[in-house]
Amino acid sequence: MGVYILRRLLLMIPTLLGITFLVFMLIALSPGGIGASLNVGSGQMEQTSRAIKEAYLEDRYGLDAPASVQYVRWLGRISPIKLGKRDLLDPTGEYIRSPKEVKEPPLWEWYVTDLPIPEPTDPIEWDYDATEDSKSRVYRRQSNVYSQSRAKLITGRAQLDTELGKAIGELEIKNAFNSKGKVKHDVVDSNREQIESSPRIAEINRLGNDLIGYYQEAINERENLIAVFDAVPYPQAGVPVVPGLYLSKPDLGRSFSKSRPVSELIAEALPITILLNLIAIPIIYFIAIPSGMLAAVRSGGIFDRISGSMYIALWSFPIPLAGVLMIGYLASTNYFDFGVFPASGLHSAASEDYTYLPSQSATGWQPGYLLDMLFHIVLPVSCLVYGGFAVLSKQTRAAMLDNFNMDYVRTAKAKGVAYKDIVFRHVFRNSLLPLITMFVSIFPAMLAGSVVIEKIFTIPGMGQLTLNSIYLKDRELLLANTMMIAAVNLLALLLADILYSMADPRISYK
Amino acid sequence: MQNKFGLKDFVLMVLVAVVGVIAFMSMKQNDRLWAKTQDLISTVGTVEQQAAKLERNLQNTQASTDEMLSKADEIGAKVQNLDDLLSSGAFTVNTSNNANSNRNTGSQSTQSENTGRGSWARPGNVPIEWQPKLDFANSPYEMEGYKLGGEFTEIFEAQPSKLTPVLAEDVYGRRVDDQICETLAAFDPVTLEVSGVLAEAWQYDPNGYWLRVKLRDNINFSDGVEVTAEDVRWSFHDYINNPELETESLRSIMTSIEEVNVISEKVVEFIFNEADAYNLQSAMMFYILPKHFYSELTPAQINQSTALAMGSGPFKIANLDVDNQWAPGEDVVLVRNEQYWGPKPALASLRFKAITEDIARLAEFRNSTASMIRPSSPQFSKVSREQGWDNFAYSNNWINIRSGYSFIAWQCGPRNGKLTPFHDKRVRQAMTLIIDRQLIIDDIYEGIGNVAVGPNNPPSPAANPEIDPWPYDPERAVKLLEEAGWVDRDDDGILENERGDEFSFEFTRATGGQTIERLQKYLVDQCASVGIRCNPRIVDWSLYDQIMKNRDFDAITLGWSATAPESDPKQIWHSESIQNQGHNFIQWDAGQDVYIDKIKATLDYEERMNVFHQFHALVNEEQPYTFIRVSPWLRFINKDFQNVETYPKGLEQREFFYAP
Repeated sequence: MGVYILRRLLLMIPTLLGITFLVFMLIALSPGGIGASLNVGSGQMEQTSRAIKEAYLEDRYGLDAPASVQYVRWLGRISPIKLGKRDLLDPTGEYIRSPKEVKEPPLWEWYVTDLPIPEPTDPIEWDYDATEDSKSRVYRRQSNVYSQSRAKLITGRAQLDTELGKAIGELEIKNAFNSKGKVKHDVVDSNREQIESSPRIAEINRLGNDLIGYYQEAINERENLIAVFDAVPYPQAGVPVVPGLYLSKPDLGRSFSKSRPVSELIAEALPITILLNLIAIPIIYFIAIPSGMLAAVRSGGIFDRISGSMYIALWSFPIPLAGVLMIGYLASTNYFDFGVFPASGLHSAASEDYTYLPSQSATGWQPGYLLDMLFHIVLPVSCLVYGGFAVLSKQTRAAMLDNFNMDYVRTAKAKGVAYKDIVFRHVFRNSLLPLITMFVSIFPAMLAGSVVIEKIFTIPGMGQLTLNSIYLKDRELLLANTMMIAAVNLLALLLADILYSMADPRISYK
Repeated sequence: MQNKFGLKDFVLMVLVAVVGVIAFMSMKQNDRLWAKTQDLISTVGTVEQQAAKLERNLQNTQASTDEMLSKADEIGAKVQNLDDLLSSGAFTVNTSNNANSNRNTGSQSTQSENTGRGSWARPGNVPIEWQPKLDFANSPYEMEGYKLGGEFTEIFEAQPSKLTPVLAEDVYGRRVDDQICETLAAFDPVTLEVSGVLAEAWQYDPNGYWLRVKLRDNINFSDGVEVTAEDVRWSFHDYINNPELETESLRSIMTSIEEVNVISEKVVEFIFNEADAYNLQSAMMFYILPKHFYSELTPAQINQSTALAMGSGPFKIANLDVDNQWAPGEDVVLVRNEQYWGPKPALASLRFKAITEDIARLAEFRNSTASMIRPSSPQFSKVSREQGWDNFAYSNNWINIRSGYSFIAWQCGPRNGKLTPFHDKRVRQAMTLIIDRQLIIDDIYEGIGNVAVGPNNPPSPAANPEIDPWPYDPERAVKLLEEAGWVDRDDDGILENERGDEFSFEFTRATGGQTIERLQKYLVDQCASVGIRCNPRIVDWSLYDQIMKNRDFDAITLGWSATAPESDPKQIWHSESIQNQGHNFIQWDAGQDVYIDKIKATLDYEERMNVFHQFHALVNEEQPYTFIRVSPWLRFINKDFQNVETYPKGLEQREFFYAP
């Protein structure tokens, strides 16, 4: 069994990679590609400004790299085994990575024969009495200087590209833009003579020459920063294994649509979704299973027929419509006076001042934080619940009926076992098998959240988060969500298999 | 099997009961602590209020002492003068001498004003524009039934992802920040003129290369620290222009400011690298942030923060703890800044709550748990006609400077190397003539909104008041199409040009919404009625950027928003924006550059408006866009709140007061 589980777990890794890769590539290859949403807002910006903004964003999130490279980078971040220099960990818990590389300035061959190389700097050694604080100050100062010089390079490049783009447009050079609308520098280079005939050449040359200077400055400052980085101004992250390889916590990265750490976003959303489901699922089970049993015992009777048709009717009622109707009738005083359920959110405004339990205070009775929250989730939970009865109760009923016709039940009846004992001890126990495995399959659904319900009732859970990440093509958030949902799915499948073998001795994994 | 209640069961039950009781007691204990904390918070609040009051009193005394001292000085100087006169023996002064001395004292008094109030100014004749004291447009304190306190709950359609100023890019985050942070100057809500907020006066180079600003005395951030010139410089150079911070949206458009220099504690000077009519706005209208607060934080802390927003505005975020910030998903609550230096708002707090479903928004508004919502057009027209609604809520529908306009843009240049029929201005005019914009507004938008006339619409002063919208006149359209060579040559009901090509075009629109679908259907019908084939193409919104960049459309519909009374037309209309995928995505070039360049270079207001009007006339004649509708602001506001005025600038929540 142990070997089997281990094998399954190891098999999970390539499966997970496959799933995330597939999902990522689907999004990356869809029109617009990763990060398209970042540029939607720049509608009325001036060209150069827009180019600069895009350049900054591309630089920060590495959006100019091909999709496959972006995926591999992400893998590197989430992998617990890391290569290269160890990251540093600043006191706020932020990872500090070794400084980013500087890209070659485009068209540098036009202006210099050789690209400048960084001037080597002396390694930094801390004074004997250097405190943590003073070390971090040195790092922060140098980091800022490097960012400044890098920003100059980025803006310079964006300006050059804008100017080149204008020249290309005027000269009507073909195929000079790639699918994302960026200037292709190799095409520009092969049309050098034509560009040089443009009236814009003076400006292009000025910007191009400036760029070489900025490049020199940036690589020098990078060298300086590396010197500080190598002197370890902050504690190092992770555990070293062999030189150049160390273990460290996986980093889920930052969402670029919300510019916050993904782990933080998930930590906010997940408990809410789990709370809703933890309340909804027991309700489904406690109603569906007994009524399924009752329906099986009196199969074909009035209760069986009424409950069966009612559950099917509920199951076929669309959730969005139900949600909207609930809000319209039950959350608004417009139609019924009792319509006072909250229409959105998880807490009322006043609950911030409530105590946790209901209490009698000077201003009168107040329901308390706990009751307030329960009151708020009545409508969303009923939306989650009502469609779930049908499947479960029908499943119970069918399994029970199957078992009723078994030989051992007949034997039990023949030897005079009490009917109650037959139903509970024999039939029901044996019908539980499919129910256990069904329960396992609910976990992934809990994680994914119920998109529709969360949207209607404005509940900031996982469903909304996942939906937004797809809609905004937010690389980090999307990949993290996909990976989590996939991992939980795979684990649930494994758990189901294990439970099977435990519940049914006929099944074994040898 | 027997069901016997044994000792084991008993112990188990007792244990469970004990755990339950302990849990309950600890909750009780927690609640007691909670109540104590609440008490403490409210006490701190009162103490803070009193401290603020005392401080203000102290300042007032200080000011009156200063005044008395300066008066005493004046008297002293006059006595001195008298003494001088006496000692010089000038008893018999003739009239000319008298005039002379008068002039002398005159010049002396201006000099003393220069040293006293204007010593900060640049030497020369550049006039100083003194700003009046900051005040309400309609003060709640002068209204009948005015009360202090109350909470105003505004409903957002989506959750702002962060509130940290400048880093918060969505419209909701900015709306919150506008209550927390202040700028040097802002548009006056009524006159829409640039008027001083933190700035007491400024001097603006007539050639447009520098701007010197004097800050008001006694202005402070919400923690009581004074706002100084260094904060202004820091906000620009070390916050907005700090490449380690994710402020690039603002950084990339504020390129015309070369540098900000501190002249003295209360005086800053902006140096511009080019003279531009919009320099004044961009220099005066960014948030001034407290250096002492933000410079304590690392760039990563600021970048990843959700609500580290501190400023000098009338409201503030109560909790500015780095480790325990507001989380998107919770309501945003702003409390009154008790140390506010300007006219204090009457409301105790503002609450911003996101509700994504429009029915839920209306339901919460009906239940009075929401004070203001933004209804959709159908909601607005239906609900505001309900009986008794007017006693319950204000239904506001007005056009202000933030009202944008929607339009259909015609491809005036080539698409994939081929000219579309719309390169001919007569065709574009004909298209406008067959679209009955008033009908669209009446039928699709429930009669809410005005027909848009051009790139600027009333009440913007940049709109040409002499231009009326094009009429609905299909007959004239047919004639214009005929002139342009589009006639039905083979009697199949579809127009052809001389080469026999049928007139058909693709109409690009974004997915979503009944409104836009109905608009598309109407357009298709109208085109068919004159013999034009219109093929709808429905794309995802995120693709729009690419489609516009590649000019890959015949006709496309979208809307531009506005944020200021006049906006620089260069980005959208200048022919230079045709190149390199600029936002003149319709590739329209009809001599508009003359006007646009002139608008940017004209610093004089009247003259600039004049050029704007000429530009408007050209756009109107050429019809590169068919302007459809100016979308007004629609708001339902609960009548428990008073002093609700709609201004050309929008709404001023700080003037509301709660009097149920």
